Amino acid sequence: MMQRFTIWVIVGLAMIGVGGVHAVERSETLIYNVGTEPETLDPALCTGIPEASIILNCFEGLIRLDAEGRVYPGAAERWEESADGSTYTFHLRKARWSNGDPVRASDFVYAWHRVLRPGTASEYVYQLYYIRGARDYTTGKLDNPSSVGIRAIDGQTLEVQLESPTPYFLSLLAHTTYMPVNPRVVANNPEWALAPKTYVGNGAFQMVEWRHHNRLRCRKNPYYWNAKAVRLKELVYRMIEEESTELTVFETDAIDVTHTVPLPDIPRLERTGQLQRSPYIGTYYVCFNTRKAPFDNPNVRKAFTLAVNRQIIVDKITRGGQVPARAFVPHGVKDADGRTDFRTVGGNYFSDNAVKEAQTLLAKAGYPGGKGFPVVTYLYNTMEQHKIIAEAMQDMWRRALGVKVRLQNQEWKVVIKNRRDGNYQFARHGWIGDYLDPMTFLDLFVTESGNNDAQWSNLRYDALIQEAKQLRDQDRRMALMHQAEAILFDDMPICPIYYYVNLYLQKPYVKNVIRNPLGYIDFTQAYIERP
Amino acid sequence: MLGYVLKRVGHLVIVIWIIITITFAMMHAIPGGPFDSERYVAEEIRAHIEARYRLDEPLYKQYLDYLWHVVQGDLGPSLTYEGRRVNDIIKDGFPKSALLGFISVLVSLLVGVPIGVYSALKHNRWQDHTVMLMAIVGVSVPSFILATLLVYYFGLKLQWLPAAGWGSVQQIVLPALALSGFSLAFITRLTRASMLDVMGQDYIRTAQAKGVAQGVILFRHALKNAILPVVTYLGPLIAAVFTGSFVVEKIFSIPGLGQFFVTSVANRDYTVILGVTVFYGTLLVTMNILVDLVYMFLDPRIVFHKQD
Amino acid sequence: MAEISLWRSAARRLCRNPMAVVGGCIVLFLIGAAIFGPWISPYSYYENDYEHTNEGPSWSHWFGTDYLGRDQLTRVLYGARISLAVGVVASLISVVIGVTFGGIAGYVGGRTDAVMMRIVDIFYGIPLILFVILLMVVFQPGLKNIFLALGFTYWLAMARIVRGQVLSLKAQDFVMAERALGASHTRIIFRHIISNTLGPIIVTLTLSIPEAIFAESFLSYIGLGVSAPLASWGTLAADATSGIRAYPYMLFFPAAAISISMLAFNFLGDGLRDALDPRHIR
Repeated sequence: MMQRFTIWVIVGLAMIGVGGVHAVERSETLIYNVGTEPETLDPALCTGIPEASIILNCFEGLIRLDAEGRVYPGAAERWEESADGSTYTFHLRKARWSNGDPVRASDFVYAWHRVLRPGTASEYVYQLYYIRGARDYTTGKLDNPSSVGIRAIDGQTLEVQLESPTPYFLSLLAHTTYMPVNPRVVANNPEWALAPKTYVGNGAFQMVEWRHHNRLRCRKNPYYWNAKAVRLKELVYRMIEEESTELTVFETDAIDVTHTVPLPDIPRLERTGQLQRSPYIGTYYVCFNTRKAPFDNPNVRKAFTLAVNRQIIVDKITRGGQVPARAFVPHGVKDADGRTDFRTVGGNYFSDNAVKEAQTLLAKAGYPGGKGFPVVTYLYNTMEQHKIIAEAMQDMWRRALGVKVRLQNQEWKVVIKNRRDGNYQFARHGWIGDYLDPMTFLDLFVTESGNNDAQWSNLRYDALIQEAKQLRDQDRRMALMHQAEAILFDDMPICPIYYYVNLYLQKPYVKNVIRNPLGYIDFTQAYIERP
Repeated sequence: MLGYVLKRVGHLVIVIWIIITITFAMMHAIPGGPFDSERYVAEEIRAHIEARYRLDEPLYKQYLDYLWHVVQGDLGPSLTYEGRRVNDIIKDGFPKSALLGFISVLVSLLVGVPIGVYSALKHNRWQDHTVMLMAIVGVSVPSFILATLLVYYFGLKLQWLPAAGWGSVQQIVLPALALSGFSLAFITRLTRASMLDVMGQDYIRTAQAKGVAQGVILFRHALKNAILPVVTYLGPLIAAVFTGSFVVEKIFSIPGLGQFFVTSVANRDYTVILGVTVFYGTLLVTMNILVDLVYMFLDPRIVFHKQD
Repeated sequence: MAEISLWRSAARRLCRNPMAVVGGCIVLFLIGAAIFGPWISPYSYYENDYEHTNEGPSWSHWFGTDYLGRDQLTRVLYGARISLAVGVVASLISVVIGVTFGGIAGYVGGRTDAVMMRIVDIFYGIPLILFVILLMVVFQPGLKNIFLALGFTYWLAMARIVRGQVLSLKAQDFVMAERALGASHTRIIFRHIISNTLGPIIVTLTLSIPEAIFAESFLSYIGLGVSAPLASWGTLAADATSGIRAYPYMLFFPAAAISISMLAFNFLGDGLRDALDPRHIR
């Protein structure tokens, strides 16, 4: 019996293929836990941060973003903007794909047309809607992609015409949806993004092995135009989902960089200096359903917003250096001068933990001391951190306002649906910017926005946003958006809690990993320096 | 015998069909679809995506299509993992889960049965109580706690074994241990109980009275009958091991099939939900048929045609 | 009269089994703690105290405090209510379904039995956990739905056991004899079948309580447990697993509560099994 057991084990191990030790020096290999199996590595279909963390290291867009989110040349060496701001001309540098093919302007045209084609069914296709005719082509109003405003003037020159001037257009180009693809491997091969052989990119790394749900190995792309600046020989992505396991694996040196940190361990890891923090443009907030009683009453919304003690939440619960939010657009998004934060210019719209004021407002709404106030249900998606924050706020509202709040957790997709359908009273919400402009936040609350889960509507707000969207003059645009944000907080359809930061662990010998405020991670310049 | 097997296989087909129908209905009853995400997707874009996966067709048609494909052995494309087919996902993940489950069930049997027999022979003496205490402690710790503790102590504190991952022999030890904790304790108790049962039967007593050697009684008569309930429970036990494998696979980061139980529901990855259910359903029913056959083999008193 | 003395001797046998007695005492203690504990405790399960978050066990907080400064002992006591309620109610539901189903199948036999057992097969063929997850997602997390989801999925073993028991009883000489003598169904069912299956039913019930507590903890682990700020033992333990390095005591107490209750119910169940099976008299 024992013998048979042994044989079975050996057969079994042979079956799964015991992993070989690879030859590359550990000092030239960086292992990053991306946290989950990527759903796709096709830039046109990518929607998530984990996927982007791989794609953006295998592909290079026209421009790149640095750690502050400023643009610098990528595949395009330089570019010009027309006087009216509606046309960009990009001059591509001489570069090659990872299979040796030259990168041409037409490859970008091919890639973008591919994203727009209805058959591709790209979810993030709207990222390209700034381009003239793009939306019409996707929605079938335009049959011929040649009338979309993308044109290869010659092999190295690309011209892009926009629907209207978009001051943040350049920063959009760092998005995965705008990556070029090599038509010679992509055309007629729907599975090109799955196999290392056909996964051809123009970035610093190229995939050499993908073991699903386990690890994905990349090697330095020798054809990358700036290959001499790439110091890592190998880049390995692990797919460990459990935070706690990730931490253990990190502490046993089997990964160098993590994608997150377990909440309880933050103080200890901060003390050991392994906790890293990078700016992340996102806001954690509570969304009120402004169409349903009792939160259809602005005074009730304001009372609930003012009664929350955000300082306690960031100091005692999240403990990761998050900043209490008293407005919507987070720090890190620049104002008209390109240097000062939009937030610094705009300031705060209300004070934290203003219990007295909150009580007055609730009384004004007809519920002095919480008397007669119905039991309300706070909805959040099932996740430990959301639960803790919900429990804390429930207790704060009970103490400050004398109201009874019921907590209800639902599964993520159920929450999304209920929030969107207005089938809730108030709910946990969060928003991460898609690009570095206040518009990515303020756009949310226009009446017809599909993301307006607060079901809030204000015509003046809509008009201000609409006007700002047509403008090129940054001073004027920003002024309008400040005005819009002020209107938002006059009416308070949301209760901001804190601004996100990106928290992760990194070994001290890992250098030069760039994280930008959109949450993307860039290993191009990374290296390992052992003492 | 052959007729019996054929009939059971016929039943299997019906069972699988009903499983598909129930699962299909339930998963479409869950709010939210595979392409709902936090960012709103405009109707026209959603229409393209749904058309791509033919989710725009009426449900009954999707259902019939699915059945037709299953008959041909095709479980369809995953809706979450772009370009990957459910058949491949199962082919990829199942051997890993199976190996893990196999090792843990085997360990449980090899250790659990002898201990159970020993305990029964020492009925109500201190050895019995000690063994039972240990066995029950084994069932008493939820697998997520056991797995967490194993990762913490052996992976981090002592650093004897890798804490997570898949690919080397060392990486199998901890998850197999975490997975066998439950089944080991279960089999020990079951063996003990049925052994006690058998030892109390008349024919054993008669044999004892006749002075048949203890060893002969034990192995020739008692054990053969005492093992029956253990065999019966192998089916459900294997099911338990597979479902337990979700937690273990997640905590030890093992690229097996168990993790799809929960993640595919969370993703509303319809084809994977169905595919995994159909696959495990077939496996479980087949397992039950095999168990019944083994049972028939071991206990000729059971006559199967009686069922009609 | 014979029945009564049978039960009485079973009780006597139970009392002579030290493990079962210990198990029974612990079960009683847990039930008592669940009922009276929260009244006695000076703390509530929902009031936060940010001055005393994440503190280890001390005189004022025997089990320490959690991430919001709530008294862990109080939370474990409230958790006992939920976990035990889940265990008992879900088991009862599954027992009622299982006994009815298995009993009918076994007693009626023939085609009915075959069809009913195929139904059980179908349920056996559905990976139960997937079924529970689907149920919980469709019907939303919450105590009542946990009862139902677990109760409706875990009755299969019970049905099989009862059916097997009834089948074998039916074939036993004394039942055959009664039937040959012209006894009515009612008499056979009540006099022989029920009285002889009650033992295994009670045993399975006792043993399925910890199983349900266990299953609930799994649901909590994947986030389908009871609604906050209430927490079952499973929720408390699941929440604490990520903090095992920083705050091991947060995992220790709820995990210990689960394990102890598990031990107790299992001891009791095993003891009952030994006591109620007359063949074990030596």
